[in-house]
Amino acid sequence: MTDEGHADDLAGPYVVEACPQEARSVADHASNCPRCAAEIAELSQVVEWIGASTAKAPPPGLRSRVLSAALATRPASHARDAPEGRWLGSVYRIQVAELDQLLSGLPQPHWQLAAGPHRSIHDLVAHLRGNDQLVATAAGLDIGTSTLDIRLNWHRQALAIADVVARDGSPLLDRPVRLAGRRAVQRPLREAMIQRSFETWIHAEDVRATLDLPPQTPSAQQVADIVDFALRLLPTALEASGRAHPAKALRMVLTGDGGGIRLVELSPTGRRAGTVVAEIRMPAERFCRLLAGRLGASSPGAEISGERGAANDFLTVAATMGCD
Amino acid sequence: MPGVPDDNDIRTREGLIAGSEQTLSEVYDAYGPVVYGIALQVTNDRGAAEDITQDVFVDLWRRPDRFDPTRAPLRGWLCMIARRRGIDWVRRRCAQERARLAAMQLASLPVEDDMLASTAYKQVRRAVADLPTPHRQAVFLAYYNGLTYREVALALNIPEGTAKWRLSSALRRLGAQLRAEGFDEDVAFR
Repeated sequence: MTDEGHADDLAGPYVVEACPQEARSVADHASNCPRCAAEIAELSQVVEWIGASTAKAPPPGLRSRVLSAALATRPASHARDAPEGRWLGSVYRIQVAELDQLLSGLPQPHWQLAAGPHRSIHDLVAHLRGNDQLVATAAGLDIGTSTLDIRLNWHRQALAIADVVARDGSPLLDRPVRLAGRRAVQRPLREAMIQRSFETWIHAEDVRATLDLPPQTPSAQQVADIVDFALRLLPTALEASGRAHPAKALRMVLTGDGGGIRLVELSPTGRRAGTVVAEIRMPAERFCRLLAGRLGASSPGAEISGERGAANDFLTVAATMGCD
Repeated sequence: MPGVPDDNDIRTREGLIAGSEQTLSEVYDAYGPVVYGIALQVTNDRGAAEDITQDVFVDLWRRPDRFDPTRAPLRGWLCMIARRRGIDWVRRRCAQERARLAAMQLASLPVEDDMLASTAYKQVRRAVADLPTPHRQAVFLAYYNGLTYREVALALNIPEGTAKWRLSSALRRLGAQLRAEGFDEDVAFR
C-alpha cells in the first residue's frame, strides 16, 4: 500500500490472490476508495479473460458423470412439480444438448460414417430433423432450412420446440400429432414430446457407438416416461400386426432405474382386464433399447415365464416401436 | 469488486437454489469448458482436471447460495475456484514436480488443437504471448502456479517491489490491449 493507502501495485497481486498478507487491508481500502475499486474491477476482468481463454471441451463422458454426481448429493427438486410443459421441454433439451455436443466436435469426414440403421451421421440427423418437424408443425412453428448445415437446422428447430412447449404448456400439449414411426398413429403432443426425447437419446447412442464412446443412460424419470409411453401404444400395435391375444395380459417386471411392475393388455380390450398369462423380466433401460429396435429381437436379454408365444409376440412388436 | 450483477447469473443462482436440474446442465454446458480448461492448464493432468471439474460443479449444486452475483460474475467465480483447486492439487504433489510444471508453463500458453478456437480465446492467448517475458513469467507463476508475489520474487530472483509491479503492469497492459480490441464485460467466449 502507498502512503495514502491506495492499492497501486498491490492491485495486480490482489486480483490473482498473490498477496495473502495484504489482502484484507486492500479489500478494506477499496471498499471506501472508488479509484482502487475501479482498478481492481478492471484487473479482475482481465484475469477472468485469461482464465476463460484456456477453455477446452471436456471429454464427452464427463458431462453425465458430473450431473449424476451432483444429483446424488442433492436430488433435483421434483421437476414434476413444475408445469408439465416445462418438464417435457427440459427433458428434451437435455437430450438435444447431449447430441449437439457430440456433433459439435465431429470432424467433417466422420459425418459420412454409418450410425445405427442410417447410412451416415448426416442422414441420421436429417432423419431426426424430419421426425421432429411433425411436432414443430403441430406446434405452429415454421423453422425454415436457412443454411446447408444440417446440425444447425436440426438444433435450431429442436430448441424452438423445447421453448414453445415449455412456454405454452396446455392446451398445446393436448393437440394431436402424428407420431414418428412406421405406423400412422395420432397422439397428444405431450406424448410426442416423450418420443422426441426418446429418439434424440437413441440417436445420440448411435453416434456414440460409431465413435466408440461408452453408452449413456437417461434419467430414471425419462426411462419411466418412455416405458409408459410405449406400453400405452402396444395393445393397438399388437392388433395392427396381427399378434394380439384377446382377453390376455402380461406382467412386465422392469428392473433398475425407471423400472417397476406394469400390467399390459395384449389387445385393445377397452375396459375389460385380461388374464395375466406371462411375465417378462428385464432392465427398464434395456427395454427402452428394445423399443427403439436397437437390440436383436432374438436376444433381448429378457427372462420369460408363462406363455412363451404371447410374451414373444409382445417382444416382437415392441421391437418395432422405434422411429427409424 | 462490486458491480452490477448480471441478470442471467441471478436467474441461474435462483434456478440452482430451487433445485432445477435443467439449470445445472445449462451451467455445465456454458462453463464446463472454462472450468476444465483452467484445471487442465494448472495441473497438466487430465484425470485431475476431470475430478476438479466434477468437484466444482457438485459444490455449486450443493451450495449455490455461496455464489454472490454482486461480487463477481459466475464465470469469473468458477474460474477462480477451479484455479484454486488446481493449485491445491499441484501443491499436494512434490515440489520437484511443481518446479517441472512451472518450467514447462513459463514458455508460453500451450495452444493445443482442441482448445476452443473462438476469436476471443485466440485474442487473449495472443495478447498474453505478446507480453514481455518477465511480465508473462510473473503472471504465470502467480496465476497458474499459485505463488504469492513474494514467492514470485524469490523464484525469479527479483525484488518484491518489482514482482508486485510486474504483476500489476502485466494485467494493466493486457486490459488496455484487449479493451482497445473491443473487449468488454460482455465479451462472448463461444
